[in-house]
Amino acid sequence: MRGLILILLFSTSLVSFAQVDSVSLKGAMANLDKALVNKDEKTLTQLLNRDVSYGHSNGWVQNKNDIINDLKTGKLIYDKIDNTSVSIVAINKSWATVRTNTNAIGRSTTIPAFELKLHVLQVWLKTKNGWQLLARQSTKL
Amino acid sequence: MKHYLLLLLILASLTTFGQSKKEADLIARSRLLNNTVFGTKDSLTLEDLFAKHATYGHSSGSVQTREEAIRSISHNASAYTDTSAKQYNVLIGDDVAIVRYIFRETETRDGKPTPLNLGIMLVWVEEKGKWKLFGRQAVKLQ
Repeated sequence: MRGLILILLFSTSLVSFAQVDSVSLKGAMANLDKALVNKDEKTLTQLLNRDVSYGHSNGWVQNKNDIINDLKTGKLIYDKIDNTSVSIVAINKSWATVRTNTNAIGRSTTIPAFELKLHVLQVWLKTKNGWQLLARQSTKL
Repeated sequence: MKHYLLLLLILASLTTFGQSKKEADLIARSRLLNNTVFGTKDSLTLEDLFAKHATYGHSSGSVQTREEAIRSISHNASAYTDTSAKQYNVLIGDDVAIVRYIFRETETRDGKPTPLNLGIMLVWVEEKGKWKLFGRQAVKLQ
């Protein structure tokens, strides 16, 4: 009986640990989207892993410098990023993967206005500086 | 001092060796996956490649579970060319790794050939010393 209670307690704490983590992950995801819209370089530097690989729905892939510089030069600007669904596929002590359906509205030097419905796969790393995006790939729905 | 330097050198080369070994393993697993999905379609190989909770995303945005993906790949009636040299780009984040590659080939279904141009992102995780496919997302190249 005591063993059972111990197991119950242990699994409850595991569940709440995962819940705390998924709350912090969802926070990081929301902050990243906000920083992309607001061109907030400081937050982007924090939330993007130095090796980040950011793949777009036309096959184009940006690295960390590209993401920040293209916002500055206006090569790619976001007006709105909205997740219509978020599913955390897995989360553990060192990484997480997430699939979202996302509406992105913005502009680029080649396209004066775009409005995209996307499916996105994201991989996040848990570092000593918090959650950081390692990789992302979107495709058009 | 000399010993210290030697130790540092050994450590540095060990780390490099460890990284390049991981990278070589990841490229081998990615190549095997590519050759199985678009070539042999062997379900036993897929069973070995896929992690228990794998999700498999197509360029259309549809996402399959491990079981759905293995079933549809092994029953896929299309044939694919394998002519382009594929470059696998590896990004290692400890026990999770990303591999990207470009797939530009021809798909033939019911005798009709069509070009298939995909960017493919693979997410690999280490399970019991073996890299397993945890996630996959394809996108049509423009």
